[in-house]
Amino acid sequence: MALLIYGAVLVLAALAESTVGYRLDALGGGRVNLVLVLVAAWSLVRGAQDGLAGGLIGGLALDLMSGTPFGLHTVLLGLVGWGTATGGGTLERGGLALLFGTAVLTTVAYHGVTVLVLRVLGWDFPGLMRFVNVLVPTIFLNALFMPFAAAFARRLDRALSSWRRLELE
Amino acid sequence: MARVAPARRRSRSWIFVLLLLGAVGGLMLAPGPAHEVEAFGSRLLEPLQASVSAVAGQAEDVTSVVRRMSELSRQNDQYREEIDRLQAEIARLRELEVENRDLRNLLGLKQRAGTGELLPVRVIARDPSPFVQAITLDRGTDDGVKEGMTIITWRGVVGRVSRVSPSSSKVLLITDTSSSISGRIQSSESRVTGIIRGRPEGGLLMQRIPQEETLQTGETVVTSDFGGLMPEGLVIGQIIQIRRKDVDVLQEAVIEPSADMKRLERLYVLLSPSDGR
Repeated sequence: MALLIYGAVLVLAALAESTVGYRLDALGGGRVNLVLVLVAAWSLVRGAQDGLAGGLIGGLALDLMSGTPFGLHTVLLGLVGWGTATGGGTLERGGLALLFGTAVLTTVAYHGVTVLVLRVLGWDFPGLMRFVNVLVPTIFLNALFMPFAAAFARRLDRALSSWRRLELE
Repeated sequence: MARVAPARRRSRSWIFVLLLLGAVGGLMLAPGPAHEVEAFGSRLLEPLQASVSAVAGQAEDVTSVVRRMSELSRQNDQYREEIDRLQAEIARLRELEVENRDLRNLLGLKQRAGTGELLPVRVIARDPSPFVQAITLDRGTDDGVKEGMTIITWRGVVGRVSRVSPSSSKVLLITDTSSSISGRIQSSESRVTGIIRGRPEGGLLMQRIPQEETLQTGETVVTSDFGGLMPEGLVIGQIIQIRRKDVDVLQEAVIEPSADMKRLERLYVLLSPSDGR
């Protein structure tokens, strides 16, 4: 149930990213990666398994809207969802530092691997300067959005947990 | 109280009238006292006259203003309606002018591009990755769109269909670093051709131009049918910078795309035989 609801949120985020996100380009093309941040936050709250599932759903939604080879975002975000909980632990053990650190690392890893995979698949590398110019504001925006995404994920998790308890009683 | 008889009352009235006539007649015969009486009366009545006159004047002003106000209001409404009508007319004429220009350009474009049909399409999304210059259109195979077809605006080429589904299609813009099309410099005497690719920092780069060719900024670059990817003669952009080194065999030209890639509107799919249909 929780995954279904969060999956719907991820699909909406992917939709927003492809229809509104590009209009809000900041400082040379950087934009907030809603799906990436929501997947990472979900992974921190719910653990590796749910993180992986969330990443696959969010990635699939992005793949449906992207011009890149199909499956690229699904695989990458699945790995991000799984790896965030595995490498970063849970949200209970970390505060803002964990959130910001997660945002920085996942953004660098996600975009770095995207560009490398595209290069391997025959696409041209955008150039180091362009890559850095886009990546730096994107990291900043993702780090800013991360606490809100984590708060949302945690609240949704608690709401669903208490609802489940009520159902069992 | 004793009652006065009617006959006596009538005779008193007559006496009063006669006295008044006598006084008036006396005053008429003696101008000096008459003037004094007139001056005294005037001084007594003047403040009253002034006050009443002022009040009456103001009342007249008020009624006049009220009357004029309703008239002005009616006129104002008429003018406002007229302004609204004219503004609507101006907006309609402007829109017609834009549409007319659009159609004229498309007509020219179509004449240059051959016998293909133009399918109007709309951008529904952009690629979520900032490193990929791609868009999603609202038409797909159900409307006859196929992979490899050219997307244009009346300003020039936008890109090519890279993936297509029944109801939508993905287009790789010519400004993407992976895009590569053949182009020709239109105004150059030699009509030299080259390969046009997207630049990482934006815009386009025309490569593989022989060093001996003389290029000039401002020259128009159009598509070349070399390679068969796009129809001949569609506008790509203008040269804004020429890069040449004496030691190199080839030179390059930086091109500003004619179509505004950030604000893509009024797009068309070129359903032409050259697109492999």
